[in-house]
Amino acid sequence: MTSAMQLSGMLAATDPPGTAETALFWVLAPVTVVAACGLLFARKAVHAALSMALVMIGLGVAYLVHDAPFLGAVQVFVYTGAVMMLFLFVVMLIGVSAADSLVETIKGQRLVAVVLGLGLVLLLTGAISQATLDETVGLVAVNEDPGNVTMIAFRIFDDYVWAFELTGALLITAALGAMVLTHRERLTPRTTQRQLAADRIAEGAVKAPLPAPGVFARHNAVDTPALLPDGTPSEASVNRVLRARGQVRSAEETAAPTAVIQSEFAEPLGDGTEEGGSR
Amino acid sequence: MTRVPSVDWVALAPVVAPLLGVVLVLVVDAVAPRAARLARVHDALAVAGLVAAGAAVTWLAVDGAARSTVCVPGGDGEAGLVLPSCSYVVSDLTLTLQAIAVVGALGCLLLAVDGPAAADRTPHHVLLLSAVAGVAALAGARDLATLVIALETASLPAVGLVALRRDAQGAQAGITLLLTAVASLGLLLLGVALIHAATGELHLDRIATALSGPDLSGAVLAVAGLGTVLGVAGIGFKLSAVPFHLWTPDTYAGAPLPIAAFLAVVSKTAGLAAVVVLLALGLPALAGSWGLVVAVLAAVTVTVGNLVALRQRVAVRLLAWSTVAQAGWVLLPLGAAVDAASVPTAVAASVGYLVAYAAATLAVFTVVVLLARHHPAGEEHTLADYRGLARREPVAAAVLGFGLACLAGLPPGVMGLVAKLVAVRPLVDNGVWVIAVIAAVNVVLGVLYYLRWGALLVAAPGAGDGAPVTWRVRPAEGLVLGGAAALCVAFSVLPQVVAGVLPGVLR
Amino acid sequence: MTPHPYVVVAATVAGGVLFFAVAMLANRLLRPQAITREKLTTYESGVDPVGHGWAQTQVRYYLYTFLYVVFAVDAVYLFPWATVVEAFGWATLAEMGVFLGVLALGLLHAWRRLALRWT
Repeated sequence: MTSAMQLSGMLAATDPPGTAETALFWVLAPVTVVAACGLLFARKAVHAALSMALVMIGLGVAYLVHDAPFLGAVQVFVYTGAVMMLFLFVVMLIGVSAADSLVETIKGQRLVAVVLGLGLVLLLTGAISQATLDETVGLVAVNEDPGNVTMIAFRIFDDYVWAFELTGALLITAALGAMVLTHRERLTPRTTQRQLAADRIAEGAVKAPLPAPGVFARHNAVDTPALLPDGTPSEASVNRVLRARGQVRSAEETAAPTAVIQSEFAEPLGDGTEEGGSR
Repeated sequence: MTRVPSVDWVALAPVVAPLLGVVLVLVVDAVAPRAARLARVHDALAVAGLVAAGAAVTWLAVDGAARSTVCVPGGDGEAGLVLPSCSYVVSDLTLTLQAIAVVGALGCLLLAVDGPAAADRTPHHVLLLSAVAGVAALAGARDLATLVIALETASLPAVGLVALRRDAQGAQAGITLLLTAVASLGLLLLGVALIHAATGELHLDRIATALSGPDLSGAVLAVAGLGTVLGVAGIGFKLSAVPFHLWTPDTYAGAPLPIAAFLAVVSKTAGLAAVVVLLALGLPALAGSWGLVVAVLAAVTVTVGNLVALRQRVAVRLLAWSTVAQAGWVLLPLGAAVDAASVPTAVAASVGYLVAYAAATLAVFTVVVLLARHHPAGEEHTLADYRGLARREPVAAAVLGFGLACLAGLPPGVMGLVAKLVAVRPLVDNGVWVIAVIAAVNVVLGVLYYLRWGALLVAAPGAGDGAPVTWRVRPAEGLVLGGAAALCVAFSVLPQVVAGVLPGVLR
Repeated sequence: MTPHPYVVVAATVAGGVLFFAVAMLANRLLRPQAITREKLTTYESGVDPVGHGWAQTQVRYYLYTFLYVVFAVDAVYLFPWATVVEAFGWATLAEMGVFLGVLALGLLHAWRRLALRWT
């Protein structure tokens, strides 16, 4: 509100800016612009967030230098402090993976986005660049009488008091909305370990470890089911994923070339038997 | 410098009543959280807040006095005497929009009260009432700061309401809506800031004066025009105007059905209120430029909405696309504005269409909610599930059929027909023929799918249907069904209400 | 003669940079250095470092941060308000009371609904 008014004053050269302001501008502005580009192009979300913090601080200092102390302080306090913290928590929540998703859910959306974005930039620069403000009062004059902060206070708490009170409604809505999105009340008491154990017994599930797969004379692999004492293969011994894919090998298939085993017993290999014999 | 702000609480009552409801619900909840026996107290407080708001609107309308409050004093400006400007004005426009929002929200509240709201009464009631307060404040807002904050208060609670479905789809719908809301707020703020930079004023009447001066430089007009376009784009998201509509089908399908109805009725009212307040009250001098933008936007919205709706099978998704198309219809008359003089008629037509749309949509949604509750597929039920509804549930089918006729603008629904005529008339009067022809084509497109749905109601039941479930309509739902139907019938019998909803001057 | 205000700013900045530089330099000069490759790897309880160091945080942190943002915004209004309380008197006290009261209700709701309890 009022801050926007000051911005419009800021654009104009009110008093000839001092050398210190000019020097500071030429230091701050490139840093801020580079940081803003970093926000756009950084691969890692954390780097983007840190660039954003730098942009915020740069803007805050710029406001301070341009005689808008309240706006500068708020910029640092709210944006660099609170909002950046929110950003970082979200980054920590959803991960910092630098992998680019190359899949376009809507075909050609990147191209369209780039074209439209450039169009918007052209439109904005085209319209704003030809605007000149000639009759501004200047921030020095605005800040003179009761002072910057007091003047803002007069605006907020008198002229725009209705908007201010509505802000209260907006903020409480935001708080409740955040609660709806993140907090869910436990309506039933938490199930205890004891209860969980009792439930498992009651449902009659297998309590012991499942039989191990594939332990068969010639073969030792997870895709071969174990054989039960009566010779039937045990379904439970094979991972259910393999079962679902139909990749289970039958024990008979492995056991089929018994002739090979028999022959191995009948005609022992030279070295092996000698070694065996020496034992 | 010492001035004590004076506030006319009677004028603000339609906004303050729902907010008082919010405070009371929260206090009751804080005193006894999770007390099941206080559930009815919560419901009663929420309903009381809305009814009080409605009563305040009615009283203000009957009283008829021109009220305005939270004013900045005028004085001697450089260019002569400056009149005092107010942040909140009670006018026909304000009261009509508030009435639509309050009645629509009451309907959605009653539909939700034992449905999706049952598990989360406090958040649901608080968010819904805040949103209504936001729309009410928006309708009366007459400066840019109040406009932006009121629009956010009106649209942000919808995110929480949508997420009340508490499953993955609901959360996704909520996040979609949240991201869209944030993006649109960015555009709106940029637009508003540019308008402010061009004029140096926040109050809409002063902006209008500043922009209607004789010796305006082209640069000021360029900046203000750009701000207007960005502002319209920002609000276009809330109205789900094409190309800002992409969130609509997913959000409607992911939200609990009564909340989808809320989005369709109350949030649309908020969007239109913002457009009308910003464009018609703040920028009538630029009507020549924004008229064209809005006209194109509306024409594209109506066409795309109708074409996609033609292909929908799931009832909620059809309704979502139909509301996109209807948003285009609501915007259409504003596209006819060619200069400041033609703005009031255009606004009257827009608001008139909104009245008809809100009543018919509420009726249709009520029946959809009822069917979803009695159908195994729930919210995912398709149009085929309406086959033969007229034999099983004649009353509900009649209401649905009538509501669809109103939305389509077919003869039994005289209200919809008149609303469409009223919407097209400014286009014809001002010679915007291309858009008028597109509108006419879209009447046919709309009739196609509404009629297809309506015809299913009276068709013979299919062979594959199992034994139909007998509907058990709760009293609250019955009230909404009856009320919405009564509104549709009343407006169809007295269509001049829709046609002449905003007599007099625009303020 | 008072110095130009920006001289003070520059001096403060220079002092800050100097403080940081001296501390780091002193640390560098005073500490023993025997860096090996092994010592430079990330080490945690004997587990070899695999993948990156990200661990997902609880979604509840989001609620806390969000409440913090809400109250930061509310505190921002308090500073200018404090300068006009005297001028505007009781009316503005009531304004701020309503504003803060509404926000406090939100916090009360969160507290009573156990959103602020960790376990």
